[in-house]
Amino acid sequence: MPVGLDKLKHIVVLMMENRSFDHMLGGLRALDSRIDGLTGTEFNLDTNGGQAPATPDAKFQSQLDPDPNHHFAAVDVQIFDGDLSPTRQATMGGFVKSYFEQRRDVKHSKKIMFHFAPEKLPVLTTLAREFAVFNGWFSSIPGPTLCNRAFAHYGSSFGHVDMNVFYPNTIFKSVYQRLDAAGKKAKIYFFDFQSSTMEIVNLLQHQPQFFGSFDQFQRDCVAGTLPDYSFIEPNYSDHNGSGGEALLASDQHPDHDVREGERFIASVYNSLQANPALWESTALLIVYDEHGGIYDHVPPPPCTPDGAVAQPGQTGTGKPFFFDRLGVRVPAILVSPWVAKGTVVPGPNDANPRIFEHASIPKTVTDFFVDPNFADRSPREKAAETFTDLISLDVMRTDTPVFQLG
Amino acid sequence: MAIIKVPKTPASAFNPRRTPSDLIRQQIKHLEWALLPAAQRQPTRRKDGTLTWFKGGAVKTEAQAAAYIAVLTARVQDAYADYQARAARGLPRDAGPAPVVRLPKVPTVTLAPRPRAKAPKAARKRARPSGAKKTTRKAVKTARRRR
Repeated sequence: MPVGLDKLKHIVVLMMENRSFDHMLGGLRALDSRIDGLTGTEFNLDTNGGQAPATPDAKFQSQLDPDPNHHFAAVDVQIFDGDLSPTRQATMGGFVKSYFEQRRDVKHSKKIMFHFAPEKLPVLTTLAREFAVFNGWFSSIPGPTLCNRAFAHYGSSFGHVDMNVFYPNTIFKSVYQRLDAAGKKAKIYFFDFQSSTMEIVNLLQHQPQFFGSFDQFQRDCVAGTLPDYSFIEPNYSDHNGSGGEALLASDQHPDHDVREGERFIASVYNSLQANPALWESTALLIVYDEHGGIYDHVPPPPCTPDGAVAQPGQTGTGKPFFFDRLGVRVPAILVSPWVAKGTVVPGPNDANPRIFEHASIPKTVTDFFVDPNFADRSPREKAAETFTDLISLDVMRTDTPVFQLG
Repeated sequence: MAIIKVPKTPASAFNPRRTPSDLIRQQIKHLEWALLPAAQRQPTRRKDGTLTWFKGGAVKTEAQAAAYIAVLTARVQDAYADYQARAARGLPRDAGPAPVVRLPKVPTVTLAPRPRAKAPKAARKRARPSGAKKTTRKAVKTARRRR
């Protein structure tokens, strides 16, 4: 076992909102050809048949308004360009057409193709190049937030492809309950009471001991009392704090300012790095829940079916969904001083591909802290990849970057 | 060791008046769902298709959503504390008929007045053509007196 893995005591997951891999990290290909980003030749056709190229023109705010549709039926159009035939191929050619439906404005619809130049996102792109970036981390479902986040907590959405309440009679335990039963500690840190938790209200209702605020996360980092597993939720809304101060949403959900999310990611990283004992024993995964309707060029691969069927009434496509295909690719970065600098985890377009999805989170955490042979999991989780092998160094790095918040 | 400077997000990005996203409305729905006993979670719908028990539609801004979410979160946690207290006294959680739960009112949030947008430079120039007298308060008062 590498020394780094031997030292690992804490896993922290920070899940952001609604941005695709290409939108945030696609520009990195120009700096490192191993990163499966954009070549500059990618485009979709608009509703007039003109080309809408993928260009580095993304803005921090006020560009993707209205919020791009990312419900199941819309994502189906984005991936398959509206083709419903049995022999259809995933072309990633329907993003502009899908966004056009919301404002019926051809010029505006092309903005769905825009991505950030790397220098505009100094935190995310630095972490991607300094640590491990995944070329093949996909959202679990070609659909919206809540069913995707369910995979991060339970390894399944229990047959849901939508935003409805999913947790009555859940047949698999959440990763927090599994750790608790094994005598380990787990916590979900939501930003504050006004932002609260997004999807696992059932745990808030029956097991509030699993919850804490972001302030508490920072205090736990200082005190060295971080639990074995932590899941961090960003601030989901612009609101005033208890002292009347302006608290900007940091989730990066359109139309929230992307820069505040950058600062939030940096503050989580800084909190861990500031305590040397914690820094050497913690792995931080930064991942996005789904693509938010924004362009990515890599077709989602097929996957192990989850043993459930979403009926046509739920999918909105007129067809059932067998949970046998992943959702659109999202940014994912694993941070640890024991991860080799510049690690690029191969994705579907590389040799020896490794495909990750949100079920990889409970899989990795359960394997590492509870039992690799833990049986009571969804078929998707059982088949999911784990990521602790990326913590592969025997000598801890001392050249890791430092973020200075202005 | 590289030091990366992360600039402050401009204050102009703060918009508590923003209409809440579908995601935030769903979050409200989930919290309301958690507060209600099963008998009150009937999937009956209004004419517009929204669930009859769902109050999130009354929320107009992100600030209001945040205030309501804070109230709901506290209520969910209070309900758990009540349950713990009952359990400590040896009372079953669901003794007798489930009490009717009233969802809290959506709070009214008063926001500071929106700062007036400064007219673009070109527009300001046009408003005072070259050669025109300055429109200071003093100049206006003097002009009125003259009239």
